[in-house]
Amino acid sequence: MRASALLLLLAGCQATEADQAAWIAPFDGQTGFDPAQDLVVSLRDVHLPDDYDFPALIEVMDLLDGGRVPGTVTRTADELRFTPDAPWESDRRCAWTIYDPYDLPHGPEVHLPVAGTAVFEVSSNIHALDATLGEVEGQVCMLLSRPVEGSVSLTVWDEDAEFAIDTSDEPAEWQDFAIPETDGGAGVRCFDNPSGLAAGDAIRVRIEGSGDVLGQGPWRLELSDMPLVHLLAARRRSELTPTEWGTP
Amino acid sequence: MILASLMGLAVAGQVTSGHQIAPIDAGTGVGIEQQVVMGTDGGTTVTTAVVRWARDDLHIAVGIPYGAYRTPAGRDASLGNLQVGGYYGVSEMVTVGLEVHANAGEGAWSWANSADELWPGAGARGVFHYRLETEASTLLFRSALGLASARAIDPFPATRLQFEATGAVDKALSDRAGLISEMSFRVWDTSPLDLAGLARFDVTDGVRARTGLVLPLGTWAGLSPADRPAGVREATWVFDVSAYF
Repeated sequence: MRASALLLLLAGCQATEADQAAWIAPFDGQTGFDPAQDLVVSLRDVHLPDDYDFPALIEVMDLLDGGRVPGTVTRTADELRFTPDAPWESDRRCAWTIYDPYDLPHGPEVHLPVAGTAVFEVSSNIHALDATLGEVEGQVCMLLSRPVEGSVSLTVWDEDAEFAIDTSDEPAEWQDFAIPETDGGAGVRCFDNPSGLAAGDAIRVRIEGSGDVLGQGPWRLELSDMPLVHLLAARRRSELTPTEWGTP
Repeated sequence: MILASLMGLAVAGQVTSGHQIAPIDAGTGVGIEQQVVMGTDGGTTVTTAVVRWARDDLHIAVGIPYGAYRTPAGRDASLGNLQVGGYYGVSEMVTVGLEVHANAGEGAWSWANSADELWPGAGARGVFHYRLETEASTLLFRSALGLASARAIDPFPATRLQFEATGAVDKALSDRAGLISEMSFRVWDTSPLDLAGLARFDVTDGVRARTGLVLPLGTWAGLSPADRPAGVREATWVFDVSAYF
């Protein structure tokens, strides 16, 4: 057991696994990103050497004009943070890359489990990111790129037919993991399995609209049998399983 | 790892007035040691200043290493771990002691041939030195057992038990010159098995210079805890000068 964990126990603190997990915010595919927020990488189980000189570990590209977004990367023992020099522009789609630092002989061996490229949008768009049969029995549940209010109208195609569907509210069992607290989080909508779809089947989904969203899509989604929190955890680059996440 | 034994032998088994390596009956003095890790896996250098104080059978040595090393963003340098050793001569042949180290700077994120020098951490070990003089040479043996902690960033664990066994032969070539060969084994260590060959020369009474190579056989064999494959990619050049009053 690490000394820090022992100290936490001795102090009577109840640190959840989520407190100690590595994750990224915004998650991969997120929209509705608050333009006042930084990009945050939690490294709570990685431990970067405080004063070891790494090259820039985060780079951001504006996918609208292809330019690099200027900003500052700050590093603490358990966090990386990218702060743009100017607030994020609206209606922008950006890609941010977290680099895994390469090791040198006779030096620290550090690997970031969150390394890779993710995209986010400073926009009101809603994207259907993932779909699963593993959240609510008999229903297809979709992970959306941001929370939405009220019903969402969909058109769904499977191999044989096209369905117009009005989804209900989020399932009661669904609990978003909006980390950090300032993060907008994801949305979820479910609908009855229209034609006995099974895991591995592909559907196409178009969002016809909700209260504040115009039609978007379609997206091709392969149906998973994983709980939604697994899918969201993967987009947050977290290695935790739902039971390990606990209460954020 | 061999630096610790070199330092231990050079510090505890030090020289006062000539060609003999004496484990305890040395005088007060100062020294400077330089290590340069050469080769494609090299780039780390360690400069250690040592102050020694001796009285009767008691001997105390204090060393502070300063490391310069490569990082992905360029070179960096920092003080390493303060090294303090206290030794007591039980007899002419046997010396026992306690060596401790503790971080003295921000931390130098590298190592040469010892886990205890640079990487931020602290620890203590009990040491045993045995020295036997023959007509042809002087034989030295050192063993140590201790516990150390470090910043738990790979390849270093948070805590490590350390055991060390070192054997050395000092062959006098003349009144002022000699050759030293040393083999050391240590676990846990960044360089678990080392072979060293040194030449020593007494510039004048009380001033000794040594230089030679440390060959990290364990690292070459892929036995280092660092994530490096087997292969001959490094060797360490060492040079030290000690003066005794």
